[in-house]
Order: sequence, then C-alpha cells, then structure tokens
Amino acid sequence: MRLGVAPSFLVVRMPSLAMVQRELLSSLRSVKAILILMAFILMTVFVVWSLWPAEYNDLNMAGYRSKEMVAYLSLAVFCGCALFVPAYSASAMVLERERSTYDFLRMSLISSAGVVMAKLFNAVGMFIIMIVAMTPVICSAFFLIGVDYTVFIKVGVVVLSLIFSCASIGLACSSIFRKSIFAVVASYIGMILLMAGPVMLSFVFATVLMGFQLARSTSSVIEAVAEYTSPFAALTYAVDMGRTGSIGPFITCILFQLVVTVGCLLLTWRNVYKPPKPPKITLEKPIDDVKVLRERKVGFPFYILDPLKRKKAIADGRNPMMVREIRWGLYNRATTLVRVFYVSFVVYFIAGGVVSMDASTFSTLREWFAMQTVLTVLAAPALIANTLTKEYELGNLDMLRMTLLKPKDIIFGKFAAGFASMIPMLAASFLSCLPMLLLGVKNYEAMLIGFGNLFVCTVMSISIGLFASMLTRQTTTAILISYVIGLILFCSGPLIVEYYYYEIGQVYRYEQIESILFSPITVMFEVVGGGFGRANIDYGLWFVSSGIVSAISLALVLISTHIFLRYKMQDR
Amino acid sequence: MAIIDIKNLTKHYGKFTALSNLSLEIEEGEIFGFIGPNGAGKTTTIRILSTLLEPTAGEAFIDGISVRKKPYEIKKILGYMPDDFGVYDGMRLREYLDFFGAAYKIPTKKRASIIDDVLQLTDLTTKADEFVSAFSRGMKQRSCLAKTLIHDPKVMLLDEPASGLDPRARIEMKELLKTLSEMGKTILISSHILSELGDMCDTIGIIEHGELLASGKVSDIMEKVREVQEIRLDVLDGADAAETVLNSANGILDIERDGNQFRLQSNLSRDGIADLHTALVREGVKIVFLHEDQGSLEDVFLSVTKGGF
Repeated sequence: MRLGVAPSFLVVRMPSLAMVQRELLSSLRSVKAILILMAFILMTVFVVWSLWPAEYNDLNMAGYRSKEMVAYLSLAVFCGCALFVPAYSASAMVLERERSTYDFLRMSLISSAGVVMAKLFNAVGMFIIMIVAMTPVICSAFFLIGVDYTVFIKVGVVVLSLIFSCASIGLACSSIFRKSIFAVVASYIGMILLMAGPVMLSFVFATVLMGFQLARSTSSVIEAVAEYTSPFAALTYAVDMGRTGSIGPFITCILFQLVVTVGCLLLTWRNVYKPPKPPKITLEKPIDDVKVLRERKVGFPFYILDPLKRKKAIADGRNPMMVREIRWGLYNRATTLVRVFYVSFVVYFIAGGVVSMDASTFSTLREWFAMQTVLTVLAAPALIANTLTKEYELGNLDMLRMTLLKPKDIIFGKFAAGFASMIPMLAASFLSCLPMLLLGVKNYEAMLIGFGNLFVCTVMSISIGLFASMLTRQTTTAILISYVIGLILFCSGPLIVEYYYYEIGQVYRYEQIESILFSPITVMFEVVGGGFGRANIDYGLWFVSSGIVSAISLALVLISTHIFLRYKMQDR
Repeated sequence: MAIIDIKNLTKHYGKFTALSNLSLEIEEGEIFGFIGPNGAGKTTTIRILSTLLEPTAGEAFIDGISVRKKPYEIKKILGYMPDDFGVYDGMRLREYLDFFGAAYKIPTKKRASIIDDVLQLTDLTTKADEFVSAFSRGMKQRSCLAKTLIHDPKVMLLDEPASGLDPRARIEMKELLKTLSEMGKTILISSHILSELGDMCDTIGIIEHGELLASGKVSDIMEKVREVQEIRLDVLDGADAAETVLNSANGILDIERDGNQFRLQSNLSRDGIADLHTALVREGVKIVFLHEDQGSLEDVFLSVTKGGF
C-alpha cells in the first residue's frame, strides 16, 4: 500500500485511514519532523563516532565496545522517545479543538475508535519511521563482534512499548485538557509516572514500613518494583548492562506498559465518544462591598485572594504586562496555584521527613534539595514556554504590538510573572524545611546553599522557557524546545568537560569543578561537603557557579528581548 | 494636506506580490472605504500602515510621520482594529480597557473617565463588569473598537470591522463609525459589505492583485466606470405608443420590455432624458415614473475589478 495515496476501497471501508494519510504525511513534511529526525540521527551518530575503536589496541576490546555502543544508542533512542513522544502526541486532539476542526472530525463518518487509532498511529508512526531511518547508524555496531540480533529485538520491544505507552498517555491528556500547555505538561508528568511512579510509591511505602520498624532498608523494595515496572530497567536488561536477571521481570515490565497503553486509549476513546463538558461561563459581577468581601475571607473556602474583589486600575509607572500576567494570569489560576502549593508541600514534607531520619550527613539533605531542584526545573519551562505563543494562539499579539509597550517591558513583565508563578513551589520548599528544623536538622549552611541553588535554577529555567517561547509560534513546540535546551544547559557542561579530558587522556584533579560550574543541578552534590573529600562547604565555588548560571539566564532574557524587537515587533 | 500618504508601497512574500507600487492619499476627517476581493492586498496595506508589517519598498506617512522610520510615534496617533483578534481570558471589559489604557501610558487619573467615555460611545456601559471572553461576536467587535479608541487616535484603521456581525450589529457599527467621523477622526475601513460602505464612505479605493484600480469619491468613480446608463420606465397606459417613441428616439441603445415596464440602455444626457419624457407625454403615454438607475457600489466594483469575491 502506498502511503500517500491509499487505495480508495480501503479508505471507504476505513475512513480513519484518510486521517492517517493526511496527518502523518503532513507531519513528515513539516520542519518540526525534519528537526526531530536530525536530532535523533545526530545523537546516534555522535554515540557511534565517540565509541568507535580508533586505535589498534582498541580492537582487542571490540566486543565490549560494540555492547557499549548498542547500550548508548538504545539509551539515546529511549531518551529521545521519552522526550519527544509525549509532547507530540499531547497536541493531537488539543490542536483540533484550537483550530475548531474537532467538531468536523466528530461529524464525519470516522468512529470514535477510528479517531483514536488514527491519532495513535500518527504519533507512533512518525517516531517508528524515524527509528527506521536511524537503523543504518544503529546497525553499524554489527561491524564489531559481541552483539547478536536478540539484543536488537529486545531493545526494539522496549522502545516500541515505550513509544506506544507515551503516545497513549499523550493522547489521553490531549482528550482531557482544552489547552495545549496543560495537555503537554500533564503528558510529561504521565511519562515520568510511567517511568518512576511505581518506584516512588514503593519508596513511600518502604519508608512507612521503616518508620514502624517493619523493614530495614528501602533499597530492596525499590529495586524489586523497578525491575518489574520501570521501562528503564527493561532497557538495561535488554542491552545486558550488568544485569543477568531472568526474562520474567522484563516481560512483566512490557505487560505493565501495555496495560497503561490500553487504559489510556480507553480513556481517550471515552472522551472522544463523550467529550468533557465545556467550562462554565462565569457571570458573577465583582464585589465592591467590603463587608461581603470580609465575610468571604473568613468563611469557607476562605478566599485569601478573592477572585470577585474589584481590581484597582493599573498604577502609573507599573509595567502593565507584568500586572496583567500576575493579576489576570496567575490570580485567575489562584486555585491551581494553591493546589500546586499543597502537592509540592506534601511531597517535600514527606521527603523532608525521610531526610530527617538520617540528618547526620550532608548527603541526605543534598538529595532532598536535588529532588526539589529537578521538579522545579521540569515545571518552570512548561509554565512560561507559552508566554508568547499564547499571544499568537489567542490572536492578541497584534494588539499588544500596537500599544506603546516596548519589547523590554513585555519580556521583563512576562519574566517577572513567570517567576511569580513559581512562588508556590518555592514557598512549599521553604515551609517544608520547618519540620526538619524541628526534628533537629541543623545544617543551616547546607540549607542556605540548597535554597540559593533552587533560586538560581528557577531563574535559569524561566529564562529557558522565555527563550523557547521566542523561537516558535506553537506552545507544544515551545515546551519541547525548552526541555531540550534545559537538558543541554543543565547536563552538557559535565559531559563536555569529562569527554574533553577523556579525549586528551588526562586525569585532571579539578575536572569536576570545571564541569559543575556550568551545571546548576550537580553543583549541590559537589559543593555541599561532596567530592574531593571536602568537609566544609565551598562557598567560592558555589558563588562562581551561580554567577555563571545567572549570567547565562540574563543572556537568555536579553537575547529573548532582542529576538522580540528584531523579529516579533514587525512581521517580514 | 493628506493625513495618510502612501507612496509606491510594494510588498513581496517570496515570489508572490501582495502590493505593487500602491500610491494613495486620504484627507483628514474622511471615511475611506478600502475594497477589493480576498487576497487583493487590503490587509497587507493596513498592516504596513499600522507598523506591523515591513514593506519591501515604498513609504507611507501618517500625519507626516514615516511608518518605517518612526513606528513608535505612529502608534501614538493610530488605532488599529484587526480582522481577526482574540481576547484575554478572565478579564472583565473595564479591566481589559484599563490594561490597554495603561499600555498606552494614559495616566491613572484620566484613565477611568476615558474608559467611561469609550464605553458610552460604544454602548457597552452596562457590560463593563462582564467577562470579555463571554461576549458575543458583535460585542467583542465593539469591545475591540473601544480598545482602539482608548488613546484617542487621530487615525483609525479598521480591517473588516463588520464581518460576522448580524444585521442589527452592522447597523450599530455603521452608526458608531459615523459618530467617530463627526468627531473628526480619519477612518480607513476595509470591508466586503459594499452597500454599507457606499452609504458611509466619503471616498473609496478599489484594489485588486495588489494594485489600486480606482480611488476617489464614490459618485466620481461611478461616473467614470459606467459606459452606458440604465433608465427605467413604468407606464400606466400606452405601452405600445411608448415603445414606438423609444424605438425612434436617438441615444437609446437597447430596450427590454416586460408588459408596461421598460429597461433602457442609453447614452442620453440629462437634457436628452427630459426630451424623451416630453415626447412620451406628447404621444399620450401615461407615465408612472421615468428615472435613471444610479447603480450601486457593487456595480462599480464589478465594473472595475476583473474577478469577484
């Protein structure tokens, strides 16, 4: 069957095939698809290039090198799919709604199940085609000895199951949410839960057991759960990286993903068959009566920020963009922000409680802060990556550009509002350390560095989100770009420095110091009583690292302002 | 002096030419109707004038200020209402206008009274505390117009302001634009609803394939484009005698008869029409009416342009 022009009798019998034809082909023709394909291929070519035995002596280790190559290639494809599939599939239904074509689709002869399957095959097909395109690079490992075809089959099964499960999670989120930003963020959260959800639950469960002295350590429980559920564990088994376990957990893990896939597809089908009710239109008038406002504040549900309180005029000298984003962007989402605060607080609080049990060393505190930093780094770009794309999508950009606001007013206003949107998570972090203090954790210096680092990372993540928003007109793409840039900025420093020293064959004592200077995530691990046997906190190192990261953040904001001034104020 | 002065404006999108050497002058206080088929270059012209689009060549001035060189100054005197626009979620109309008032750097002290004025002008006072996103299409259009008026612009560019409106809303919009014109504002309006433009506009410009085909007063353009005039004659009695007179009269090019009603194609002068009337009466024809059909903007548009909508 030709992809472009499917036989007409097939299209008549299966109208959803027309959807696959239209969407898959137009997706493959898009610049986005070419860029993703380039990213995938560059990633795999880099792995082969860096691991290919160059010296005569290396040929003795050809078998080991080929295994290593397959492992890294598989990891690259695995990470690529985990990064791209959720965002790509999450836009499937939402874009139909935003473009007002969803009703046309529902009015056609394509059944609900047909719509779901067509959307699934579009999302999955795109990535399968890309992986097939990469096969020649991946198969270069066969030129060396040590790898047999069963490894490729197992890796293929793991990657396919991951693509299907991530795509179905994305579709489910796309059918639930009306705005692409929520769908994409929820899709990524779903992907993380798929990867580590059962492990996280088992950690909490094991911690509780330990609290009641029913278990001695959490590690055995976590390892067992991970082995049977985590796609990553299945990958390590497939590439035979130090795991000699049986195939049972591997199959269980694949079945677990299959169950997730089927569950998500059923949820999507249900939402397509019977769409969620449209949001209610609020017709309530603003309240001017002080007495009524006071009553609402002291009575359930205790409006701290009353949405019906009449807002004052924007004061002279204030940045209208910032005020708009905070008052009508954030405060209108006050309920969401309060929920974010509650969830963050509970997570940090539980993790803090666990840390407090072993507060004698720096290491547990480091992990507590690292967890918060990672969550912040994941949340911040998603919250701000739509900052300009939403203006495009809502059709407000022209009116905004016609005002007397200058690009710097718009960009810094949006940046400040983005930081304000992270306040609930930061506040949860600050407040959740109180029980730790009460439980006797007195590592004030480590806490100071931890909170400082969290602040720096938040600023950096917001800058990344803002910058990503300048590069595209679609929220989904902006979020994806922000995560890719985040990954590069947060992780490339250590990798590049280590690779450099590996290449020149030198062991430099302070190579890690150089690497962490550019990586705010790892700075906590090395600065707070970490590497090199230091007993005290290296403030100098932390300040230098924070300075570099802050400079990168500032540069991103300034570049964003320049892009807005040069390319967004006037179309070309 | 023309308040809008466009000189040889050209815009290419790759190989496609959206505007080709467009030159146009619009006098202060005029309502100028900009008409043309889809893709003719109306929106491109308006977007260039509003500084949102960079022209490939040519220059445009508003109140003597270059739109290319001083876009910030242009924004102070220009109000632009796009064809397709959105509204911010969760903002009430007064808040929406307050935001744009602040964005146009109107001091807080003055802003409240200005908002009241534009609300009154656009007949939205009762809707001030309602959410803009919940408005109907017509009310959203009026809200956008209110936003466009917030900084009291001298010149207004309105791109299809009446599209998608029901008949009542269209009439209201027309009345509103007339009021604005009376306030001394220069309005450039693009629209597909030609009959309404004909009533409202002082001058018009017809554009097709990026080229200005005709511009000036509606009546002048009509006179230029019409090669023959159409005369309608309705008689009560003596239709046959009337036909004989018409057949023998000079300047009558074509006659269509439907019972006692005639439709004539002619190149008669006004004196010639009067003479024809006299001849008909002399032959005992009882005339109900004899008049020249003035034609409509649609006719002018169809005469001037090659394509259609």
